[in-house]
Amino acid sequence: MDAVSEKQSSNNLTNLLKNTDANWQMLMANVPNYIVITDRNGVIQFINYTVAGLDNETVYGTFIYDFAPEEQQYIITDAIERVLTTGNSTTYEIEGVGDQLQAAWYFVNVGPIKEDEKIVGLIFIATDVSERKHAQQLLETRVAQRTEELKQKNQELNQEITVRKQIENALRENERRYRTLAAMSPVGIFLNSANGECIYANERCEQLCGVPFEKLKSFEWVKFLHPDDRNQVLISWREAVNNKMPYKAEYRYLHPDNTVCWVLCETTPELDEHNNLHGHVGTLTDITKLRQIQAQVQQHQQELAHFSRITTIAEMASGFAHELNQPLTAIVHYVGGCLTRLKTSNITDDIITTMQQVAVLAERAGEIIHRLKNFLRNGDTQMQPMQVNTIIEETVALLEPEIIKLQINLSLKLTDNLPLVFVDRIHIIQAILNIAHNAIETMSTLPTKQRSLIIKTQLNPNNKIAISIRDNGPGIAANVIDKIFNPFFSTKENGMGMGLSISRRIIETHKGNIVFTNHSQNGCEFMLTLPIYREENDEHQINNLHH
Amino acid sequence: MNTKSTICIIDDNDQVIQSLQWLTESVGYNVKTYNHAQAFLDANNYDNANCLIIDVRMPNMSGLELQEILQQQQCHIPIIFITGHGDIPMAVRAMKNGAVDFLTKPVNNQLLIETINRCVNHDLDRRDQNQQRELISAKIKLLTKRERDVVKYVIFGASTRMIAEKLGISPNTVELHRSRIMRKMGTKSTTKLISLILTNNITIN
Repeated sequence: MDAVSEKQSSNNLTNLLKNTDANWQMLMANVPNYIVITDRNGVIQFINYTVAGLDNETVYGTFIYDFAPEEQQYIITDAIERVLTTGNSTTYEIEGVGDQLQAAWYFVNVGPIKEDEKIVGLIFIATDVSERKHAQQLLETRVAQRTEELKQKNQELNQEITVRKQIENALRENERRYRTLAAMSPVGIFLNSANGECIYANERCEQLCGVPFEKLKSFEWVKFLHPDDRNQVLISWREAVNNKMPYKAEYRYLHPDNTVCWVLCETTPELDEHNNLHGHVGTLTDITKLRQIQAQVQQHQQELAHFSRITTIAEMASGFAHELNQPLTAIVHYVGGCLTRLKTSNITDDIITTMQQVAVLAERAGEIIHRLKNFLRNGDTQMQPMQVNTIIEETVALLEPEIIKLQINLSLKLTDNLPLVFVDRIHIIQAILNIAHNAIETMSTLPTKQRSLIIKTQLNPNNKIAISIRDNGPGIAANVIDKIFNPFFSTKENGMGMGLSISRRIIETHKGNIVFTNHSQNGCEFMLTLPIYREENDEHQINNLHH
Repeated sequence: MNTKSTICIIDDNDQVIQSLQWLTESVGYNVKTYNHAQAFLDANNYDNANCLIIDVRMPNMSGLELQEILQQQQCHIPIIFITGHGDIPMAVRAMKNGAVDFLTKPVNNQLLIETINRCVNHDLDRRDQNQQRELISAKIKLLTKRERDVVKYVIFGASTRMIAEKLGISPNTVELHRSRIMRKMGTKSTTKLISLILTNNITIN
């Protein structure tokens, strides 16, 4: 059976082969390739099958390249040209339409059809390579993408490099700036190593220490500390270094030429991320002038405090003296009256003697009081011609802490170019201070917005210099108006009652006058007047007083 | 001692006033007391005061201010200032204004009484002088115009003859005027007349 069927099929194949044309047609219809035969010009003579929608008959007679996209038609004409000239087959790839009219790629083999060595036609065998092409395209796209990515990376890198370069330049520029800044800085700048060696000092540092950097580096800087400050500085500096703490101190450098320079030294430890000490950055600020001013202010304050104590004691003594003097006077005169009467009567001598003794003792008590008063009053005064505004400014400087603490709104209305006054500076300051203190105190219960203090200077129509101190407080109560200048009189719970009494004493000693006004709106105004300075008169009077 | 003389005490301290009164009355003075300056001014009793004892420091009107007001009123009663606060400028000011004395409390009794006596005597002299001058002025007013003309020349020491020549009258008439003048003025000699007029600083119109 098998043999029969084998024979049969063999027969069939043979038949098929015999029937070449039919076999040809079957073959043509089943190969997966398009097979096209054209003449030398590419005019289609045969095609094994067509894509959907076309049939073989309509295709015949058209040019093969009509089925390619216009821009690729040259590929086909070129291939035809090659085959015709070389007589050999060639290949090309071209885009076209797939069997379902989709876009497709074809690999095409073109060969010559020869008759008697002459090329009479061409045979095109096209294989659909869309998938491969697609994969290839995908690959190409990937490659292109990668390339693009690489390019971009490259560009980015380049950019980064440029930026880095710019930063580097900027840093270099910054460093240059910082160096200039350090060199030109009005503040001394220095760097110390972790153990305290000086490793950099700018020009200003050199000026403040009085020697060039060469002499400051390492631990040499210690030598130029003022001997009186050296130990203290070293101890506190060492402590700051050990504790990795910032350091701040005011001390002196003693220059080789013996100039003394006060500085404020501030350092900050440079710590790395592990809290290891790298070194110290420090600044030196010249505070010599500031110190001098401070010293001056301090001296003024001391002078004032001293003067204030003295005048307070003096005023108290004076007050006591006055109080005691009145009864003493009365005793003396009563005794005197008694004595006169006794002498004309029959009273024994010993009573008269005793009464005389009483009178003598009372008088002596009076003398002691007077000596005390004179002693206290004749404290050394230093009279000099002065600008009253200068005195006001000094007074205000002393009041400043209080003004700031109580947020007083202070306004100065000082008239320029006033004639001079002839005064003891400290005394007048004390007189003004006493009044200003009271003024400020009376306003402490007001809302801060209303706390205003006005100090004015002017030349009064009567040709006297007037200093006016006006507050915004409740004013002076009517029932105490007569008493406020009395020694020991005070409206304050702990007041000594000396302030205004002293102020009046001082101003009257200066041949001036002191009055006050309660303003109807609010506040109280004290006005001190002082005579203007006349060279001949005042100097002369001083001389007289000294004699 | 003139027991009728009057002392005025002006002080704001009652004890001081009373003790001073006790003292000054013991030596025989009349005493009037005022405890402030205005009270004294209001009393307006200057004619009966021979000496003022004034406290320098008093409320409202000080002793020195009172002194100035009295001067403006042409009141020349001697003033003794007493003060618990005696200082040089104050004393200078008071002295310039004519105060006789400036004493510091407590004042020694003896010193005070002596000062008062001196002031009172001074005041009495002043009053005597004033009285005499008023008397002389009154007498001069009794003289006729011609007699006053004659007196003017007499003061210059002119002789009868010279006066007669100047006034264009006879020496006899001048002599007549002179004897009438002497009688009206109550003087016996020309010298006495001249000294009366000149010492009392009287001007003749």
